[in-house]
Amino acid sequence: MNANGLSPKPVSRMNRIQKVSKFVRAVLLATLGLQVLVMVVGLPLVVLYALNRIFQGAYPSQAAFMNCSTLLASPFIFIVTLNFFRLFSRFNNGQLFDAQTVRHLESAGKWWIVLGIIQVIFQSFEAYVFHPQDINISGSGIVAGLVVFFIGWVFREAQELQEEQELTV
Amino acid sequence: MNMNANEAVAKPGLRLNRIKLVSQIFRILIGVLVVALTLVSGLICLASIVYALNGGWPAVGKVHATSFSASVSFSPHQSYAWPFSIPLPVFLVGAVQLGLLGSGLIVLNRLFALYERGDFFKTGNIRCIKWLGLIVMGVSITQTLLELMAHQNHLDGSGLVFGFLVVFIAWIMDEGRKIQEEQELTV
Repeated sequence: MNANGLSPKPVSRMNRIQKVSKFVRAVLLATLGLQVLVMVVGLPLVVLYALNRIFQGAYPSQAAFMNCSTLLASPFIFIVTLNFFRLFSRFNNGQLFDAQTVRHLESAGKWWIVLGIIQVIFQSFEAYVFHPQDINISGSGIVAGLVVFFIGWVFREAQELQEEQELTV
Repeated sequence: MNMNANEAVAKPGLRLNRIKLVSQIFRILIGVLVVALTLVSGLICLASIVYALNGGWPAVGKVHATSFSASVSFSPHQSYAWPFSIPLPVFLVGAVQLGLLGSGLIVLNRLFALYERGDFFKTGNIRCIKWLGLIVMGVSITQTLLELMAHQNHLDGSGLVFGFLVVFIAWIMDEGRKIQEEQELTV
């Protein structure tokens, strides 16, 4: 047993989790930085491009619409990534599935559902404006968010169940 | 005091019932989805057989059935209208994708069945979540392949990232469970 009250085997397991979480956390941090850069640089560029096309009297292109919709959805992508970053920060600190960690997982799921809905709205609008005959809408974001949210919710319920059962005993 | 004790006993039961109810709803939804998918696939198969046997659509009363229209879509840029003329590689990758989606539904159904039974952090649950993540990664790879076959360079890797995250969370759950077991053994 060591000072933390853990025998060598669990300590090595915990170290492994922390090592991998640290790596994922670093990747997520880099992604967050990139997303901020895209939002800060991309938004004025897209607005300028759109204004330029309006002044030229040109019909909006599908590529421009896709860029605009991606940029408008980027704050939501940022929030989802931020929640995952916080989740992996807690894994990195050795707090595996306590209340706060589970809350981050649930929150990531909730925001992913919102992102999925926004993407569906943009896709529907794009399909309506550019290809009224060929509508292709994917709700995969909503399903992914629902799965993450459900896993988080079951964790929280199971944890509270365990706590209440311990109290009862 | 007695009231509090009663509440403490009743609350876990309520929680468990809530989880069971939600799991049941999800299982029913999965069942409906499976039945709908099977029906649609069966209808398309039947229509294909009728079309192949008659060398075209038979006339039904005054209305000629050639007005029938259907399309099958494997990915955003791999859609085929009736009568289907799908290239073999696309058909094979599409079939793999469909198989993965079907097995995903089966695994999801199994996971909800375990939750319904009141098992939360057991090996079976973790294995199901891990498989779900792998299936999502597989679907994303087949989707990318199909888009590449359609000569599209606008590829979406979000499915791959999501699948990886799910597998990783399942791995952490598994490790956490093992740590708890080993600690209990040590004590």
